[in-house]
Amino acid sequence: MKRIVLVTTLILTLILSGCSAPQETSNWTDSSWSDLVENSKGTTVNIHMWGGSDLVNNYMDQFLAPRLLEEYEITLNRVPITDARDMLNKLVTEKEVDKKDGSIDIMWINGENFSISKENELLLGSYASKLPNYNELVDTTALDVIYDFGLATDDMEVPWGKSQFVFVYDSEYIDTPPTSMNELLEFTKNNPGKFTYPAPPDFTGSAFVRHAFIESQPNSDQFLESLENAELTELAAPGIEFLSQIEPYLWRKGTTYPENSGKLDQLYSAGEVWMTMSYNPVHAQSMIDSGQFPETSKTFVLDAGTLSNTHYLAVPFNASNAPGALVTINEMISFEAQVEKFKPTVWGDGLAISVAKLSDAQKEVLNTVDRGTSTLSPEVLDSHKRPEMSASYVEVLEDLWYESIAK
Amino acid sequence: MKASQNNLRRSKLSKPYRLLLPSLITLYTLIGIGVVSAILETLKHLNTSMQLFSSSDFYLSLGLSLRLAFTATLMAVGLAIGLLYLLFLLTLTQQQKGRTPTKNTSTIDPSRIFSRLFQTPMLIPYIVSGYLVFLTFGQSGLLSRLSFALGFTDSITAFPILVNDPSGIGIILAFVWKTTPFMILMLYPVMTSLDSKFLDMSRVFGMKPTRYYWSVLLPHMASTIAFSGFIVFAYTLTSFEVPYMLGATYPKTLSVSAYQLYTGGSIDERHMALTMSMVLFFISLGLGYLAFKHAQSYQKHLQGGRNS
Repeated sequence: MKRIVLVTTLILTLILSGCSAPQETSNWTDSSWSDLVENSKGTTVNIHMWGGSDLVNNYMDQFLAPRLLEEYEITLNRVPITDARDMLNKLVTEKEVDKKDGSIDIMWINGENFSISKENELLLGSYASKLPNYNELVDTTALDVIYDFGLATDDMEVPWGKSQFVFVYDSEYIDTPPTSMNELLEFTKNNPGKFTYPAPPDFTGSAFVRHAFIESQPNSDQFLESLENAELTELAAPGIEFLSQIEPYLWRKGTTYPENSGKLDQLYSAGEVWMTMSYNPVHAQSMIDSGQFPETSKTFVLDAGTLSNTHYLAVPFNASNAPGALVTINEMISFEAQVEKFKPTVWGDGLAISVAKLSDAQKEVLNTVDRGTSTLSPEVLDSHKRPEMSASYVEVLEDLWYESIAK
Repeated sequence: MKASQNNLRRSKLSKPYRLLLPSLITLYTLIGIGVVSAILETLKHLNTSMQLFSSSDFYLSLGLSLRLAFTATLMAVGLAIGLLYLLFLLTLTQQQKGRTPTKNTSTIDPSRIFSRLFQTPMLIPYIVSGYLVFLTFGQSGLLSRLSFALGFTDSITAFPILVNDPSGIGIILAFVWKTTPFMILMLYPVMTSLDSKFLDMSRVFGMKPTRYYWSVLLPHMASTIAFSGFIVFAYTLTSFEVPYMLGATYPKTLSVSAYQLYTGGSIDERHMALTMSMVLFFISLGLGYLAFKHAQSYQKHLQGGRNS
């Protein structure tokens, strides 16, 4: 009898211990930086981030985690997630029940997820200016740092990297890639079935659709202004027209679309389509290096430019280890961590820190990084950047796509 | 003295219940809390939740989910009954070869080995089986490349579209491939549990083995068929990963739209996704009840037949 009670208690304890004891949280706002560093010694920082890329995961586990442990005695616990929205759903629920000791210390977000977090007050506060590296290395006036998909970041998140949308093509089949959406339409007419894009709400597919909306609309700057839904739908009309024009020439005649960019990449590797796309300029190179894309793969941008955005690190309102989170984020935007991340063999992510703020020695280090033959030069990429539109429009446009194109 | 004996007996009686308690608590708190909070959420936002029932997309998705689940279940049940018939014939040949002397020695029964072979796909996760179907039946897949290499098709795109098709052929393939082995796992022991005297008796009355299978063994398995068929149906109706990988962009199954609404939509739309899941839950519950009732009345019917 006693044993059974013991076993039952044990099982119940195991179930309930999901809610672990909180770590000691000191007030991060009043502490000096050196106090924060001191307080975070020996703690664990839980970073929740999309875990779908081996490159990113390896960078975190093999470069960043050992570095943090050595320099700050912080143990970094990377929690892979598939969709940032799950994390926000969890935080909304935790806010409802007033849970103080959250399991997330840092989350990797941007755009729509940032706007949801800010709107629902899921964030710790304006912490960015606390970080020495943010003040020293980041261009704190740049529009693509202080506006995340049209929404002011208000120091609630710190840029971790930047990316830009590029198209990938196989130069074995295509001599000169299209330079505009209209040329892309011509290309699909001449090569029916050899092009498609992932179905929104896939991140990459959604970005492709936004290109169509922006390029088909002569007054595309209006997308950056604040719009009512009706105005947005009207602005998007030429884009819908374009997408339905191109549809019959797509893979499977547009009766179905790949459900995510991984599937499109797979169709491209198998030669079923001749183009793919990515929101990471070195994605193609890393796929070539791992033998998944043909050696003849190259990337291109449109003459009118492609969308670029910044991705950020934020701290939830109920982080159990706020000091540790701040110290970790500061390390993530250090020169060494950023350059390592910039290397295409590591990850190839764009720099969040400003080149202009670097020393000559640091610039020299940066110039030695080889980003591969399929990757466009930073100059070409920089001169073909377009800002992202407000995150709240993304969902409206996705719904519009679903109603008018997918059905 | 007597009292303590009574106590002892009582504690012995209740022992199995007490041992079951921890797992029951775990099962029902984890699932029960989820279901109850989903129902509460739906009721809290009743107005917007009800909007769901006026959208034509919802009925299209529900229809697709039901059609896929029904087709896959019927095919899995049919296939399992057919395969069990072959296994039964295999047992017969073995028995005839062995006849009486070796009957009780431990000779290897080929029908047992085959039934194990048929069960191996159960070891493979659904998501992997979905991927296998994609790699095998896709237009750039194994079969398409093979038929192109052999000259049956002019190009890989001339191969018929079997995955990501609007009618859900790929989804059904993956479901049937995964659930038929489960049916066999459930039914094979039931089939072999029937006393072999029945077979001998049927021979006495001049019954052919085929007739014996259909009119004696099959009714013997009927309630298990109904139950395991229901499990297959409930699973395929709510399954997410296979329709997500192998389905078309439009229409989507209800589980895929619920998932996309929950993860992709605004926070306010979350309860719509929960309502969708509740619809699936209650359909499963209703069918489970029907399957149970049916099995019960069938059992009564069988017993009644025996008594008269």
